[in-house]
Amino acid sequence: MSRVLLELDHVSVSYGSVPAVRDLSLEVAPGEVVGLVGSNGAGKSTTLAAIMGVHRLAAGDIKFEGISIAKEQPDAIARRGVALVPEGRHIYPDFTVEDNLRLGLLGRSTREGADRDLEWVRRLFPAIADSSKRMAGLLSGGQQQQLAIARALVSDPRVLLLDEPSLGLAPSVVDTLFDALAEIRDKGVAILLVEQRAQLTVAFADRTHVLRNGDLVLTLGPEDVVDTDRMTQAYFG
Amino acid sequence: MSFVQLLIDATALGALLALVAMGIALVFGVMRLVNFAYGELITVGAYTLVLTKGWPIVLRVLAAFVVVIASSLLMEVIFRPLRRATAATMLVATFALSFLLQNMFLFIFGPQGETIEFLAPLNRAIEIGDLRIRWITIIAIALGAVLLGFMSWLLGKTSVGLQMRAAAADFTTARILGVRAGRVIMLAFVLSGFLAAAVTLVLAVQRPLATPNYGFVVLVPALVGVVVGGLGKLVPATLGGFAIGFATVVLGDLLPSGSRVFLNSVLFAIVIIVLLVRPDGLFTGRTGVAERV
Amino acid sequence: MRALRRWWPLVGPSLLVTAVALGGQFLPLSTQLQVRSVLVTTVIVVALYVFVGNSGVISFGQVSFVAVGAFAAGLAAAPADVKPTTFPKLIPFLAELEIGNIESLVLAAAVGGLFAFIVGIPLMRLSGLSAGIATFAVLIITNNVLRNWEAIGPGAKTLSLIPQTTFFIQATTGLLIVMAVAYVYQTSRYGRRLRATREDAAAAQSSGIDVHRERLWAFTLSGVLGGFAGGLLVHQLGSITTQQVFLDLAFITLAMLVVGGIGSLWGAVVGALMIAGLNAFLAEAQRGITIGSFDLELPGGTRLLTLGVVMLVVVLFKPTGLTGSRELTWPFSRSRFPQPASPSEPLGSSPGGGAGRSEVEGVDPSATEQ
Ligand SMILES: Nc1ncnc2c1ncn2[C@@H]1O[C@H](COP(=O)(O)OP(=O)(O)O)[C@@H](O)[C@H]1O
Ligand SMILES: [Mg+2]
Repeated sequence: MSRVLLELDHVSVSYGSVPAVRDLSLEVAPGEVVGLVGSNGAGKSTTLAAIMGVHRLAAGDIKFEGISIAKEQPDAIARRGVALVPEGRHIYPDFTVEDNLRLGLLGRSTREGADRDLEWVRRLFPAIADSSKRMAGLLSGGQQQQLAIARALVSDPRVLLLDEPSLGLAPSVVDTLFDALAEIRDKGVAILLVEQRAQLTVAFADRTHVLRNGDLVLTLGPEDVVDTDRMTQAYFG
Repeated sequence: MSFVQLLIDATALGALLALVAMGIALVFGVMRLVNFAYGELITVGAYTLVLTKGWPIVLRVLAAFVVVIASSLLMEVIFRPLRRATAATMLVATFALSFLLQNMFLFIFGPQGETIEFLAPLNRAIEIGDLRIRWITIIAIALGAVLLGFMSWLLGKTSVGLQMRAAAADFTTARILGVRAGRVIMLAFVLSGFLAAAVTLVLAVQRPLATPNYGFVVLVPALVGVVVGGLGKLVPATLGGFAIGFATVVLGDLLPSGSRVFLNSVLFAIVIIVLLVRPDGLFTGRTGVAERV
Repeated sequence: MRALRRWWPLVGPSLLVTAVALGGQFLPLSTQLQVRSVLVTTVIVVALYVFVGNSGVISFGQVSFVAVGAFAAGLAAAPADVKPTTFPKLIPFLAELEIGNIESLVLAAAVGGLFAFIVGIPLMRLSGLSAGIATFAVLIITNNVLRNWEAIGPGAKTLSLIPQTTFFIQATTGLLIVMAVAYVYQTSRYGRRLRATREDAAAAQSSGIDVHRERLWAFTLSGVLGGFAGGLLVHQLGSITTQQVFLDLAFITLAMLVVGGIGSLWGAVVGALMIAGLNAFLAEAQRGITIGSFDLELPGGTRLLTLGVVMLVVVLFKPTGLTGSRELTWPFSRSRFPQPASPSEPLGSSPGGGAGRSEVEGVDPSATEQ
């Protein structure tokens, strides 16, 4: 097995004839947090969806644990150990919280350890444990985000793809969220974190790539948080 | 006709159309496909019963289930190229299949109809006071209740059911979570075939002459019921099917006999009004699914 | 030359239609009759296209307008001396009326348009399948009323003795006129606004287009043309029942449109000529025909089966239709990149992109696939 967990190799994705991501290469190693920032429309969501097999690649390859997954279906990729928390959460508002979590179990390669993982996410997000019989649509925005992450986590992923998890959340809630992300990382789950909050992301991630109009233009390390010039570039993509 | 009698008859037709509606809605849920050819599954079942005349009842019933479910799976294969098609294309494709099948039946069996000869004694009525209730009416209601109960258990309490509901509500997210799309779609076709076969068995007793448009005449009101009830969701769609069946019988009774020929006009005028007032469906909550078209 | 090229999406199909019509003149009488019926069917499909193709909203109901047009024309033109005996319940006004051929076609168009306008006011608020089912409901009601209200319709009887006037000349000019109206509409301001709502009605609405009004115009125009088609039809057949302008016709004409390509006039014409032509050919073949030295006699029922197979195969494997839902492009262009055939807005067409594509974005319904 290679040292790299997830590898994007000169990936391009287009919508019809309009390119959204061009020639993007990046790597995520086990246990690592990699950030991906950039302004609206930069191609961040498209990148995550392509990894998940929702969009086909126009060029390039995506490898997970050394095996190409570029031609696989989303459900197969999920069972390999990739989990996506999509932009806008996409929980099932008319289903109970419990059912939403159970859906996450489908992405497991084995039932073994499911109970342990369920228990772990309930500890991680107590609010969810308390409202398991409620309709998910009745939860607050922050709780819905927690549910979406919990749902991804119970699939026992090796890498977690997060698409703007802090979107629309109050600052205090964002702090709690990043605390949880730190705990997830410490459990050994690698994270590819898409965010618009560049400051927070650069500080949190081992490495942060800046995307602009589908091109990777800059890579920052945590030490760059104090470098105003480079941070400005990160903000404006 | 007494009021109770009317309610019973209305419930029986409602139950039957509810089953058809659910069969349509199951497939729509996972594929966004309104299957006009669904009625032909019922016709296939009817002709299966025709061809197995003289067999033991159990075998005939079994044959109907096997043939109808197999045909439903065949339809799934035929419709595979449509998975990414626009709504108009899908609609016309399923219509074309319906047209083709009806003409195939016409070609093979001719237009005059074939007697089905299936459990005819169930048409006898029992009399309770001044109520006359046919056995098949009771069976239709009971079967409707049992099957709807079974389906709500399957969808509500089992893992496959949860997967189907998830796929119906948000297909892309379901796949991201690990729901096997192909399997869920296939399961939807199996279940909807199962319902079609059950409907065939009841209809075969009530309408013992199999014709090329045998199922189509049931499909049309059920389909209308599905859209009126709320296409995107199973329970509203099923209720819509029930409502159409129920309303047909009740309106037929309410209208003075001279204007009973205008039953269809009244019924479909109500349909239009409901659609205008509640375009997302009569029985959907405020969170109606947005139309994709 | 410029003008010819600009109008080619209309001129090309018109030439084809004329060629088919003229060609039919040299064939035996039974074939001439078939050609005429193909032309009239094409009129119905083009009328359907004016609404469905430009709005992107599926309608099963346009045949209602064909039906009211047909019966308005038929009842008004049938001889006044026989009507009261055949249709004793007919209101005196209709029973005593006996108008000429052209008036009757105008009446058919007017009645179709008026009916469409009235129905369209509420219905055009709907979209998607709700609209489809609502228009379907209109068709059911129309048929139910015509069939059972004998004061204004023929009832279950056959309406006959209608003067047969839809011969070669009227069928051909009728079709050419309808095609011209359809093309002028779709390239007009109104048509272009409506076409902009096809992809994303909400976006069009927020950019200031009144979706309801634009759809209503198209629906009404489609009703006018459909009523006119009904007039042509009834004067072609000479007799008609309500069942001839009901579900079967609604479905088959919709299928013709989709087979040809739902989004273009060229698609409507090609689909109608192909399927109606095939239908006519098979009908003849079932009666027995001789092609060269072959004697062909197909067993009864082959016609509809073959039609079903053809429609299904085209729709499954060429979902944008035989024409790809594009207009006919000028064939003699030297450039590898022919100009957009219809003056659609060049929105979203990227320079250099679209090599080999002859139409701008937004005409091909498959372009919206996710
Ligand atoms: N479904 C889609 N169809 C067409 N274009 C799209 C679609 N989704 C995104 N795009 C376009 O692709 C580009 C990248 O979008 P996206 O990946 O969502 O960016 P981000 O997540 O960085 O905001 C944008 O220009 C956007 O308009
Ligand atoms: Mg995004």
